[in-house]
Amino acid sequence: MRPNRVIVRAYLGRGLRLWLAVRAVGTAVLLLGHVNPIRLPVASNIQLVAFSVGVCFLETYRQRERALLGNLGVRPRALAVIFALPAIVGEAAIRMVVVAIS
Amino acid sequence: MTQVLTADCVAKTFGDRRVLSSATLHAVSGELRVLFGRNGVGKSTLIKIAAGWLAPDGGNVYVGGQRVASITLAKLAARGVFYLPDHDLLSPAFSVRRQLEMIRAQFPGGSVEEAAEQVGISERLSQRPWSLSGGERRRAELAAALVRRPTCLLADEPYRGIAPKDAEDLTRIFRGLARNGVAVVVTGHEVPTLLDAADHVSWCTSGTTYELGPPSVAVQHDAFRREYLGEWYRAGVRIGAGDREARRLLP
Repeated sequence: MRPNRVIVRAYLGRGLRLWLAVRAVGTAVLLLGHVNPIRLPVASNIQLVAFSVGVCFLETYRQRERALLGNLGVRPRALAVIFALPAIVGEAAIRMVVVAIS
Repeated sequence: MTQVLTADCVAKTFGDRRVLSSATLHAVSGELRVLFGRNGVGKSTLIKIAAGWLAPDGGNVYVGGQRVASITLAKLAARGVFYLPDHDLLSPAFSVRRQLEMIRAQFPGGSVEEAAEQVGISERLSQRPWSLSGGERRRAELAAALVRRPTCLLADEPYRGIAPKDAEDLTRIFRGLARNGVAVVVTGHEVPTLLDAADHVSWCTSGTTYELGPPSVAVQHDAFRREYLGEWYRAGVRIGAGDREARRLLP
């Protein structure tokens, strides 16, 4: 069953917030390691997206939302797509900005 | 009266402890069924399996007479099943209204305002569930069920930790759902409340289940009285632990 717009909007918001948090922490760690956090290889961008989706799922478990999402007919795969979307768009936007300025 | 959902000959083992060996749960439209059983006998496990929350080691789940392969709650929810777990259903991250709106948007038909009014939480809609009392949270969960308009409601210990007045309201809502044709299955230990509300009693013990029939018949069942109800409920007469006079008069 496909999640409706109300559900998508709620969980896209969470996906965006947690991607920003993951990105901020990742940037700090990379800066400490003297690595440019903006110019990353594609594999690192993918890892950041995957990590951010993982954190979103952890948050869903922490908030004990499994039963609610199950009752809404939302499967984990659909939720993973919703969580990944802001991270993918964000990472792609960063890459495009880097290409534009270089 | 049709069987909406059946968990048939279900088996489940945790580690080396076999909790269920051949247990069956029927949800029948228009009936409020109560599943009794002592702590740890597997009634919550059975209801979780019926709701697709836990995978069984053996047995099948049928919805509308059709076997559901690799059951999940999401799959059953799409077929009209609504599950109230033995912990809070609603997320503390969103307001009650937002969560009810999610349900209404996903399964059109119900009304958030009507459901909230019916359970008496209209003024709590903008709050988050963590700021509500236990009774209000239970009522908000039932509002979610009312918005969903399920064909089958599985409620695992919905009466836990709530005041008698809230329990009364909960029973009224369960009865209302059953009257509207919903198949309701409830577990719990609140014997007087549940016996007053139920149409049918099932008893879970020793890894299996027994269909005892209507409450008036169930309380006559020797083993059920001896092993579950205990001494305080004899021959259909409820006696308090301190009611010595009543005890003396009983055989």
